[in-house]
Order: sequence, then C-alpha cells, then structure tokens
Amino acid sequence: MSCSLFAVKSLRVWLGASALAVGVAAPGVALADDPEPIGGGRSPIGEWSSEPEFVESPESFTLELRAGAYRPDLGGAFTSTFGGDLGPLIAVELDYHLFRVPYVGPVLLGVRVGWVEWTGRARAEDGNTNVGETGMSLVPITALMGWRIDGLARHLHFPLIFTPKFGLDMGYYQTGTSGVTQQDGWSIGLMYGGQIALELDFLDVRAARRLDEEWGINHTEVFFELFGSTMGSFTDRQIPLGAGLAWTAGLGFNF
Amino acid sequence: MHLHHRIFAVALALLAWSLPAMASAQMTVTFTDYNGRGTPASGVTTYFTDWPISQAECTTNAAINFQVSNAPFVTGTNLVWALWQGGSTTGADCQLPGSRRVPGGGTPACTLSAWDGGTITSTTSTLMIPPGSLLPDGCPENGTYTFYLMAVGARDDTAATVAASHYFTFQVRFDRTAPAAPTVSNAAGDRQIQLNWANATSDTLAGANVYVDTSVRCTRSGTGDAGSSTGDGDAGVAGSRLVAGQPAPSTLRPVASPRGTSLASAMLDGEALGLSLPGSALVAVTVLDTARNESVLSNVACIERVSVSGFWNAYCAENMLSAEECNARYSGCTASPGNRRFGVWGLVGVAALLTVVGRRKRARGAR
Repeated sequence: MSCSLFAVKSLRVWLGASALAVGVAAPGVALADDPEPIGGGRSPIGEWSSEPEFVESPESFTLELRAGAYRPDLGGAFTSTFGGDLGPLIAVELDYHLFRVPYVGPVLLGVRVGWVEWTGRARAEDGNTNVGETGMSLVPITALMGWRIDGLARHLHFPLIFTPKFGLDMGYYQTGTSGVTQQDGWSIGLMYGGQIALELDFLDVRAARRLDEEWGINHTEVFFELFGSTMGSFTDRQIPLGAGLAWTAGLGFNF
Repeated sequence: MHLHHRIFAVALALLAWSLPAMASAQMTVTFTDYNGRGTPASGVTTYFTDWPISQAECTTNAAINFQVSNAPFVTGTNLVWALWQGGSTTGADCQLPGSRRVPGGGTPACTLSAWDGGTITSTTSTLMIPPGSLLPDGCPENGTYTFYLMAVGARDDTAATVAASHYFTFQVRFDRTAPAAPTVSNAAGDRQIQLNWANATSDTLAGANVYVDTSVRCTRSGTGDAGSSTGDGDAGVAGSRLVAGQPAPSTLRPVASPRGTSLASAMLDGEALGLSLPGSALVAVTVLDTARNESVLSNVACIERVSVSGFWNAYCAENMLSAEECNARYSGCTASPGNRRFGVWGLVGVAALLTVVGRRKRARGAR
C-alpha cells in the first residue's frame, strides 16, 4: 500500500517535473493559452502529407523576343548615306516543335517577323545636307526550320541549348527622302544562323516550376544568335538586302 | 415632455450638429481652361502667375471662369460676392478689418475691384470675371497682384472680419511686354524644309508662329525678285507682307504654330506650302511668351524648295542607272497591292497552320 502510495507520489513528482521541464524548454508548445497551431493541432508534417510530384506541361512552342544589329551588304551608297547605322533590328519569332529526336531535341518549324530602319541626311544638288532626311526601312519575314538541341539541358542538367536554323527570308523594304517614298518592294533569299541559349531554370527551380504550373511556360532562356541572309542576291531585279553576318539577342519562352 | 417639445429639441440638436460643419466647410475655387492654357494641373492660386495675362487678353477682356464650391450660402442671409485686390504682394490680409478701403478711402492696402458678382444664391457658383475688371483702373502695368474673393454681408464693408471659410485668395500676373523677335536662318529642302532660328529673349517662351509669303520669290544667296536682298538680318523684300520688326500681318495665317518652351526650329513641307520645284518663298517667325504676347516679326529669310537626293538616288547612281531605269528595274517584284495581300495572307496562313498542328498534337496528348 505504502509502496503503491509512494509510486503514485513518485509518478506525480515525475509528471510535475517533466511538465516543468517541458514548459521551460519549450514554452511555446506547452502553454495552455497558446493559439491553436495551423492544421488544427496536427503536426505540420502529417503522416499523410507529401510533396506532389511535378509534371511538366506539354512543350510545343518557342517564342523569342529579340533585338540586334542588321546592316545589309548594299555597297558604298549605303555606307555613304547611312554611315555606321546598325538599325537596330527588332524581331519576334514563333517556332513550333514538330517532333522530338530522342536524347537530342525537337525539330522546329517557325516564322520570324522583324523591323529595322536606317536614317541619314539628304543632300541637295549644291551639296547642302541640311535639307531633310533620307531613310530606308526593312521588314524581314522568315519562314525557318531549326533543330533545338536541348539534350544537355534535359538529360545532363547543363543549361545550354544550341539551335542551328535555316529558312526562306523575305524582306519588304521602303526607301524615301525628305518625306517622299521613292521605292518599295520585296527581296527574297535564304537565311542561315546559329543560336546559343542559356536556360534560366537553374536560377530558381521553384519559380520555373511555378511558371509552368500557372502559365504553361516550361522554360525561359536568354539567347544570342548569329545569322546571315542572301535576300535579293538571286536576281538582279531585287535589292540585295542580305547581310553576311548580323546578330540578335533576346529572351525566349518555351510553352 | 410634449411631442412638439421633443421635435423642437431634436431639430435644435440637428441644427447644432450641422452648424459647425457648415461653418468649417472651406470654400474652394477652380479655374477652367483660359484661352488655351489648359486646365490647371495643380495650385489654382498660381494658374495666372505661371501663365500670365497678356495685354491683348486684358484688352479683349474674355472672362475668367471661376467654379466655386462650398460657397457660404445660408437661406435667409444675403451674402454678396466682393473682389478685393491686396496690392502686388501677398500678406495684405484683406480679410482683416481695417485692411480694406473703398476708392479714395485712406491708406489700407486692399482696394475694391471693379467687378460686382451680386448675391450668393447657392453653395456652388460660376463666376465670370473679366481680367479688365480685376482692378479698379482696368488693365494694369506689368506686375503680380493678389486678389481676395470674399463672401460678405455688404460689398464695400471694410469693418468686418471675413472668416477663412468665406474667402479665397489667388494671384494674377499681368505681362504686357512682348518677347524679343528671334533671328531666322535661310533653309532649303523638298517635303522637309527645316527652318531654324535663334531666340533672343530671356522670357520663358510658350511657342512660335511661322509666317510664309509665297507671293515673292527669293534665293538663299540673297537676291530677291523685287531687287532687294533677303536673308539673315534683312528687313524684307519690296512687295512682301512680311516686314522685319513689324507685327505679324493680319492677312497671313501662320503655316506652323509649334508649341513648347525651348523651340528653335520647325519642319515645313514645301509641297504643302504650294511651292513649285524648284521654288521659293519668304519666311519670318514670331515667338510667344507664356502670356501669349507675340513678338514682332523676325528678320525675313528665304526658304527654297529644291530637289534633294537620298539613299535611293545614291544607290541608282552607284549602279550607273538613271532614276527611271532604276525604278523600272526594281519594280519587277515590288509590292503591288496584290503582292501585299499575298504577304499578309501568307502570314495568316502560317499562323493558322501552326495553330491547327498544335491543337492536334495537344489532342493526341490528351488521349
């Protein structure tokens, strides 16, 4: 009896000491007037909670917003009139992913539309150059194919993507002086180029996934592209608006 | 307590509650656009100091439109509008007794203006005050004047203290001095003739007017048809309506009226001016200050419409082609209307194709 009484007392002392110890060590947990924890008192890491598996949305398109320099190989007249004017060229490109080559990347079919303008001083017969402006604008439209080699990024997590491109380049130009349009027309040729892109997902993987879940944008990237064009060089009835080498850079979205 | 006593008590309480609110409601005044100055963006009190009133405006006397809100109107009272001017500086305190005087009435700073607004009949009012009536003596010399628009028991009451909720103060600057005329340079071009001038005034400018007289021909080298020379600093050409140093002729409308504070050029279109190719005309410029005072005419210069060449001319010359040969050669694949349509529809077609292919692919993915 005494033994049991001692046992009960010991238990009370032990419980009291334990409660005190817990109260001192973790006051936020033991205090009776604490607000109820989030989740109705259950552990935040419940026995049934789990991180949902991330499933990428289908990836079928690439949209590129780009700006750069373009200067056609139009000879001395262009240089003497426009000096070192490089544009700039502003363009947008939309590519459709036709099919994916396993482990390498998708083959693209796309269209690019841009705008570039060069301006210089007009010239009077007496050589006076304070007689208004002369200018030329070009709207290059390109139907292209490319191979987006993203195998490194997809399978080895190395965020570089290489894309060779090739296509049909059509440019609508307009040129005028002192407010008068003197000539407009089309020049047609081939476009060739290569692009290197840095996928930005590695900067913030969670943000990249959220962008995909909320907007369907699988990947975002910055890119630099070198390209050339033979616009107008197939026939002498078109203005040679092609450029041996030009560049653009910009931001790309895959969705 | 009887019922009518209760009603009386409630009415009294409501009156007591509403009176302080009525007394504290501050009268506010806004101006509407005056003579093209635009609606005041901020600080109505400085509207007519930022954009002074010119001599011409004061003489024309087009009324300034005051929109008054929270005017101290109480049924049964007969408040009237009174406009007092407090001299050329702020701080005249015309609301205080002893600071106002009727004409010929002693030394206080504030004098009653010539404008009479009549009785206040509403809490909102539209007051039309002609600038020539702001001051007792009409259009004044150059200067800034402070005005007090007051709601008072009697228009010429000089003894009462006017509560802050019963008056509004604003300033008006009168600017009767026209800016100095600019100096214009000769110019040439075809559809774009850039006319440049040098401003010769320290005034803040608001714009310029360009006058062209196409009835007299001239050359930039300095010899006009009438035998007088034209060009920088010249007085003009015999027979022309443009005479340097004289006001702009009423028979000529400006061909360009650019607006801005730092204007020194304007672009003219030789074809729009009616000039033949080649052709010429006399030109002169006036500048406007912020009060819309217009300067006298500048020197009379010469603009010539001449053939100009640009990239296309240089390109054709480089390929040893005349303009006609050049146009003929490169018009083979130019943008005729049909080709333009083809280009647009081609783009639409490509976009439609991509959309259809994309939908089919997604549909396959969904299955």
